[in-house]
Amino acid sequence: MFHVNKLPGALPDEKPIGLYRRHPITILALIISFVIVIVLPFAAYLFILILHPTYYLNQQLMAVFVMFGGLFFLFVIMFIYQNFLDYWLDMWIVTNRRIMNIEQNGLFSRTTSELRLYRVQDVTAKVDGFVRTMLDFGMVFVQTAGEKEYFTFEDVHHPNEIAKKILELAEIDRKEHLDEAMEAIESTEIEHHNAIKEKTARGLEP
Amino acid sequence: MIPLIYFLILWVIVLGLFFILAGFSVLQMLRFGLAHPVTEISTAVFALIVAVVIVGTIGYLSGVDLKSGLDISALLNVGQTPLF
Repeated sequence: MFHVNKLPGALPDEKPIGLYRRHPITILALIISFVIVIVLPFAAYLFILILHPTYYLNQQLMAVFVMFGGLFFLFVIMFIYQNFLDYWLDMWIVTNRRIMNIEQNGLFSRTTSELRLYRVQDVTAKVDGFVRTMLDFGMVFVQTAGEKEYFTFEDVHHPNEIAKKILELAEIDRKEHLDEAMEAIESTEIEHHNAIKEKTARGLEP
Repeated sequence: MIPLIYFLILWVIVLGLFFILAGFSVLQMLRFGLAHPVTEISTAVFALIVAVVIVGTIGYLSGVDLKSGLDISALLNVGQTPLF
């Protein structure tokens, strides 16, 4: 298990419960392309050797092939590595105090959001499709007290177990931090009430 | 005739660009990947493949006369079968 000190803004008495990533099957295409890319240079060498062996006699041409073939191979390997990085750095962390969603979008874009467990109201697990059902992975939607706020765990393994665990942890956290939970609920109700008043004033809601 | 040294200069420039991008990728991975063997292993595999390709290319090029040139017209016409 990872160490809680590695998390941004660790809370006092916070303990890590789980770290979730997308199911590895979601990067199957990446794994296959990695294998193909590794095999490709050897296959190309044999292909030319069988069909046009005279090309290997031209040293200058071979030198250019080696230089730019190597460069092409390097960039393809880097592309695969960056895609793996994109998969590996997307994660959902559950501790006994909060849920964190860390999302890597490409190389230079990273989003980190967190949700305190006492704000969790409803957790839904969704597994749809043949492959997801067979391999037991799917979505987990965490709904908070707010109107539109929700967290989505995408394609995580054992979504039902995760949903159950989050609900249990949220219940414990609400009991332990009753005052904060009550404040959050009250502020949400006020926000909700104000939103309705605003909509009514604009004639959007009766 | 195009001297091979021109191709080599181009190769070095593109390789420099590759190193910049690869450096950023590795930096991001080691900085944000939580301490886990997969973080280190994937980076080590990437670095190993890159090292093998570059060392292999340099090794091959060390045995080539870079002062000679590549005659493209001869390749297209005389005594050679088109590749495809």
